[in-house]
Amino acid sequence: MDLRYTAEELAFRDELRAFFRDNLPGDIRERMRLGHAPSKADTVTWQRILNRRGWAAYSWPKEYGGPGWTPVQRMIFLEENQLAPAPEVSSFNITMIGPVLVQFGTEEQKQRFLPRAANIDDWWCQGFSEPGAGSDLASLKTAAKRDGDHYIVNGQKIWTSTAHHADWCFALVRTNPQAKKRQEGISFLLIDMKTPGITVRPIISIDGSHHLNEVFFDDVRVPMSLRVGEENRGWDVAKFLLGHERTGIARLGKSKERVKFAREAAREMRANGKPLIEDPGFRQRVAQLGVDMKALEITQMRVVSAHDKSHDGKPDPLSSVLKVKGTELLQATTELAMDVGGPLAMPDWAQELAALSNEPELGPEWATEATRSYLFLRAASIYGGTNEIQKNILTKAVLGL
Amino acid sequence: MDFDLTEEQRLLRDSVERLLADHYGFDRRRSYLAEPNGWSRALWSQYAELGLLGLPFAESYGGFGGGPIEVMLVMEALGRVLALEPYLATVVLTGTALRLAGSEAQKSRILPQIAEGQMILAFAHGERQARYDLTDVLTTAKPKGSGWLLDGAKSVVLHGADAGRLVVSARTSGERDDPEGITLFLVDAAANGVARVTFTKPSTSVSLRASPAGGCTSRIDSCVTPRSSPAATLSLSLSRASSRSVGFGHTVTPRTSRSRSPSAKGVGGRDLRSAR
Repeated sequence: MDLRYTAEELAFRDELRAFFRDNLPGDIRERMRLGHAPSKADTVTWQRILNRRGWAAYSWPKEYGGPGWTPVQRMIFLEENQLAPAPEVSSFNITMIGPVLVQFGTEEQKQRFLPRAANIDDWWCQGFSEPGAGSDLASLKTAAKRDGDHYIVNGQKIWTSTAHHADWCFALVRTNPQAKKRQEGISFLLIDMKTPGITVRPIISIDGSHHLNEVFFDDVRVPMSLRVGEENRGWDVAKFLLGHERTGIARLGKSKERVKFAREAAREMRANGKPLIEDPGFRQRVAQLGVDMKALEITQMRVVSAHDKSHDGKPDPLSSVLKVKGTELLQATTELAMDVGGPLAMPDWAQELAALSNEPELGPEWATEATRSYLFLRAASIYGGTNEIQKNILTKAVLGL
Repeated sequence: MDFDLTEEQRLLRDSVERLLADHYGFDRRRSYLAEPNGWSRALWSQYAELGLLGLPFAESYGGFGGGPIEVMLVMEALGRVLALEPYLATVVLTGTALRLAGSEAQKSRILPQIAEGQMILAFAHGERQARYDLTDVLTTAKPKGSGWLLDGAKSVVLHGADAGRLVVSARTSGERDDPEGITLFLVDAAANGVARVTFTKPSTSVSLRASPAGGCTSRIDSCVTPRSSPAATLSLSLSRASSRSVGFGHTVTPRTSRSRSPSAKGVGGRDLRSAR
């Protein structure tokens, strides 16, 4: 047993750090440091910079435009990217549709979509959840009926992240409502968001942002050539997608970066007449988060290392631990940043700050953003498979209950 | 120990909860948010009719002489429905400051207006640099002519934008963090020299984010900036009263015995030490 990185891995990390230092645009870094959610433009700009270096599709094999990294290298990449802090590459493009096409796509689909996904020339969204199908995904109802060489799609998706930015949507649809098992009547389609009959309606979340959407399909024609995998075998594709690269979901680098920021900000804030950073209660909280992050880091390495050695490609049920603990930490660390702001984190004055220059009494921009992040990340324990579902998986697969 | 409520307390709780159950469904709440102030003026009048707005004040000021338990029951009920009205800002925070530190003239003039729902007040104490340090007050007050000149800035004043009057803390002596030397002033919010930056957030997010657990809420927060003011403002600084530290609820602490500075008395001449 040796819990340290090898000399090669450390050299790799230093190479990444140097690249991020030299190539991440300063204005994007500053917005990320202040806790802003990355804009579409910032995400695209940074992913293209990475792609020019061959790193955007960090988990893909070399032949499809990825760097061919080991799982440990991928983990280091994700963490360093979050620590920079830089916008994260589009998970829909890179960890979802990319690997799905590599595994199940036709040669034509691969040629057409993979290079554009890597360079984020196409912005992808995920059409999975429906009003009646969330954690119980297989009960989805959006229907696709054959009409010549097309499917006609009718139905509704919900909670669709960034659908309003998206050029394409990968969606699960029901192609055989008569199937004995619900999972056996589902197909996986690639849908051009410009197709007539698609309506995207915003859902404004508690942080005030427009990230989520409802997507309505009304007689939307999708060429059969844009089905991935066999008809009625879409569930296999979805299972592969949901099990792929689960280790990244912990977003440990993001939590580390938030604690680092909170510590910096705590030098400027005060408690009991001293800088907050000197307050014993605050220090104890930071220390506890540090211990929890270290424990998660080692668990993450254990999962990645086991995956590295087994080569069977199956998702490790332990990755459910990473999801649960990772999102709990993400929520705790963004809460820490908000609490550093104290009363100044109460009002949302992003608009006023943008309109008024030099109004120092308003309070720092980061305090508003910290509260927005805190509010938005209430969703972290819900998305990507709820933490309750993850715990169900753990009780069966790990605890054997 | 006795955790049981009295008959009167149960009646109070039941009547508040019944009123709110009838008027604070989710959609109704959203419609209040859309009103000009972000809360319901009509409900505010109903709170007044029910006696909630004068609850902690003495009967001689149009109140009901309620104590912390009665206020708690109301606050719990308001918190449960994420009520938007300025009960915390006006009745609990500013009302308590006036009740404990105000002169007889101030109390007999203002507390009845609060109780009748005719006046909204806000407690302008926190400052940008202070975080939760209650004695970190940099705003200054200097005597000028027959009044006081206030200079400084207050940050995140709950319902500051709605308020007709503000109770503003300012330093009349001592240095930053000094628990002594902080004086409260009653200031007309429309007076010259008072500038307010209002944060309005039409989105539902803000109505929730400004809802402390079990508390009253505000859609609007503002910075109140009493700047160097002309005489008009000074005359509106009706009087002064001092407290060692000013916090939420019933934590207004009178100046301790050390000195009987003039600011330790309200205009009515009553020593604050006897105000508790």
